[in-house]
Amino acid sequence: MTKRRDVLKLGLAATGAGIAAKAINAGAVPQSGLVFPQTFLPSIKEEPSPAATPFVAPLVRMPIAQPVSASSITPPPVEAAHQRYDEFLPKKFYSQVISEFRWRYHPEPPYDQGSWSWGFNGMTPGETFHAYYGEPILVRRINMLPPVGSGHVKFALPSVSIHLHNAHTASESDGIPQDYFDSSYFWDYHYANFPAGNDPREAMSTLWYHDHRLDFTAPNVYAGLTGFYLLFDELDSNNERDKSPHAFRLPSGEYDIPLILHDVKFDQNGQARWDFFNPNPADSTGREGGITDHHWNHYTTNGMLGDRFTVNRTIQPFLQVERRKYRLRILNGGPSRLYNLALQAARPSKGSSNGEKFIVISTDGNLLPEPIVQRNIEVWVAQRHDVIVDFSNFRDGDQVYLVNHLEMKDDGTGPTGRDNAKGDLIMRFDIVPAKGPDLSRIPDRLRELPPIDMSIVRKERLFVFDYTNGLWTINGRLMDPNRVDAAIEQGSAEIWTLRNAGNSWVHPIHTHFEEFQILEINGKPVKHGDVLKSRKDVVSLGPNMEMKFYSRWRDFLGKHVMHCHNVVHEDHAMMIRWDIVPPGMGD
Amino acid sequence: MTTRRNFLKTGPAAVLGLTGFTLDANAVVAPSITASEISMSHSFPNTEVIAHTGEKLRFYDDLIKDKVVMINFMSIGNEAKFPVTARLVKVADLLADRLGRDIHMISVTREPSRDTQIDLLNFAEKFAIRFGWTFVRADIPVLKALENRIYHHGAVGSNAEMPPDSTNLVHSISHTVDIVLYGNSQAGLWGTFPIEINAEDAARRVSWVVPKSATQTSETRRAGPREISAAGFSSDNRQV
Repeated sequence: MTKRRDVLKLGLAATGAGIAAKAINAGAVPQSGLVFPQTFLPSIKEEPSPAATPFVAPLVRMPIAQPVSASSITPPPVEAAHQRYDEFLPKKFYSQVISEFRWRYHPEPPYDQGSWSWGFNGMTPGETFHAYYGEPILVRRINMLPPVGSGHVKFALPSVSIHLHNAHTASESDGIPQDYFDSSYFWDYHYANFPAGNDPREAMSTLWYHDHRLDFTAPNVYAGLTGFYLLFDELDSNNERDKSPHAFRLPSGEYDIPLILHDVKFDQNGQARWDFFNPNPADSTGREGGITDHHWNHYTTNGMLGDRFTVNRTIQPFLQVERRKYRLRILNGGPSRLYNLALQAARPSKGSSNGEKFIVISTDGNLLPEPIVQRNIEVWVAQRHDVIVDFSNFRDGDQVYLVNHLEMKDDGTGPTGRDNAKGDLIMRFDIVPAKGPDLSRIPDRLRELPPIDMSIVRKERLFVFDYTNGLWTINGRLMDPNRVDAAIEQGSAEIWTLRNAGNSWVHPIHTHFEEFQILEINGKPVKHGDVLKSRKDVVSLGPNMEMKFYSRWRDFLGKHVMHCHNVVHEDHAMMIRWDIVPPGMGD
Repeated sequence: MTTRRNFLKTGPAAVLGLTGFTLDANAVVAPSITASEISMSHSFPNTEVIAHTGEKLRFYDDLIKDKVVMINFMSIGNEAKFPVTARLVKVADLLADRLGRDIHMISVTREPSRDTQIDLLNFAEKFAIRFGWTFVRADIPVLKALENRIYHHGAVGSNAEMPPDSTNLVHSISHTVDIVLYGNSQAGLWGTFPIEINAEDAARRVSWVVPKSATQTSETRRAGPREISAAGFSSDNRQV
């Protein structure tokens, strides 16, 4: 992990060094063509969200989704609409109504009146699914959002496509951007819940579902359309008391806590606000002949930052934790902010002179070959880290903070490269005595990596992520759902190189359907013991960085996408469509 | 790529907080625009512009307010190598009588010194005249005010190389990188689509933001997925 941090730091620091030299040489830079002039300020600086006392609101624990009877799904699902439905007949059925409601982010005014939000079955985040390998399910999602122009959430489009990130799911159930459905329509999602290639080493753990609507993913996710989907098997069995000798016995039940981080901007009435047009006070400096008392707004393509840190859609919550081990599933829900998270205690725990420990057991929802101890974790948009935190190292009454040390550029494109030493306090853990013995374990070995078989590599591809005409491009082009940018033969493997052509912005790049393994970063292999030596689905593509990965495409045919998960970049329009095609029909 | 190099040059100053903008800002902001015309009350300048018909219009009040609109920048001179208007003509044809009723199109020239009102009228008559589609010319300070709100192409080259009203587009023979801003100003809902998508797709997208009546029906309908063997758009798995 040290390596990865260093790479990032170096990348950013190098940018900073270049900055000084270049600025001296460049002098004043013409701004006339820039979408975002240099003096850009986001609304969080112009008009900060109303104050909210931190750590007075308890953390929301999402309920576990409960199945409904098959007969209540009417009209019944259309079997012929789903690939391999008869092989993976649903054993459980779920129903989620997507609607608009008031959600209370905080108990103090103005938030106490509730902020108009979108969510699933009346909550955001939606219920947490507990799914099991070998147990296919069907989820019917019904859009009951108010039609365009009639709801309270004005900035989002009441037409949705719900992606299960990063399930091994056929195209028609994947929730690709093109598969949207409007108010009063429903869509059936068939989750077969089997690992890629039926290889248990491909099993995943922490997934999440979120809106993926073409052109409107960013505002729709921001409005509340997110939730967790956890997958278990006989190893990661959701039971810390499991008597099976194979079971990992990771902390489970109330000690297994999904945490989704969103940064949100609120108006003075406590309503979530989306900056389509970010204020830019560039000309408010009082120059002669200029207009000095107004603000310029730009249509934003860079990113959206909020100034209220929320966890499970509560502003800076607290959580009472027992003096024992917890599994925290930390997910950055976006839209654009990146985090570098650490634990910080007023009274450090014993043996923590270098900082409190995360025992990292997974990245991007995939259990690692072995746990890795880290003092900080970087979590870019859509990335997940499952960590074990052993609160027994603290004393009763201690308070432990989850702190973000990554400072973002105001325009949301990426980090400044500076460490935010003071840190943003994200949430607080309040230590209380354990109610009973801690039977959970941290195994020495978790899930082995599937082998990399170079003999089945059919093709290598290069994808360059760039900024062209003020828009976000892949290989110089914008997303077109009618254009197939890669036709991949089913069953084959490919090696993809992702290159960031920019030296000051970053992109968390996500590709759907199968996990990949990074072969090289900037030409150097990933070493054992690095958290990047793992299965991943979101690449942290830093400035000028190049990553090469190996992946396979198995089991289904059809359309999927790869895109930047800074969802504002995705919407403008840093995304490609790739298809899995029958053998012999690839490009 | 030239644009990227130019952008990279600008990146450093942004981080250091240099105010390179001030030099150019004097050209951007002219005394002829008053603060009240560019207010926070809405996201678009309410400045005076000239329509291709010769009519004087307020950009926000007359063209955008309470409407569903598509807005793009163009220039007559660039149409040959960058056929943005030709693409939008196809979209307009597909919108048919909804154009001018449910949806309005606004095309702003970025070369007002070359594209006179008469030129725009001739261009529209020859090429793209449609009820509900307004070609707009604005004086340069006003144009800059519009450009400062609405997405427009990144410019190429330094000031010395480029006259202030130039539209210097990055494109290749095979494709262009540009978007159209579309939205519902009453709702405050805005999106963009790439200019290169096909016309059917573009017409569909702008329709997404048209207000729909809230039907109080308990009956819901299947949107998808469609049967695998069924016909449908090749871009998606939708049934409707």
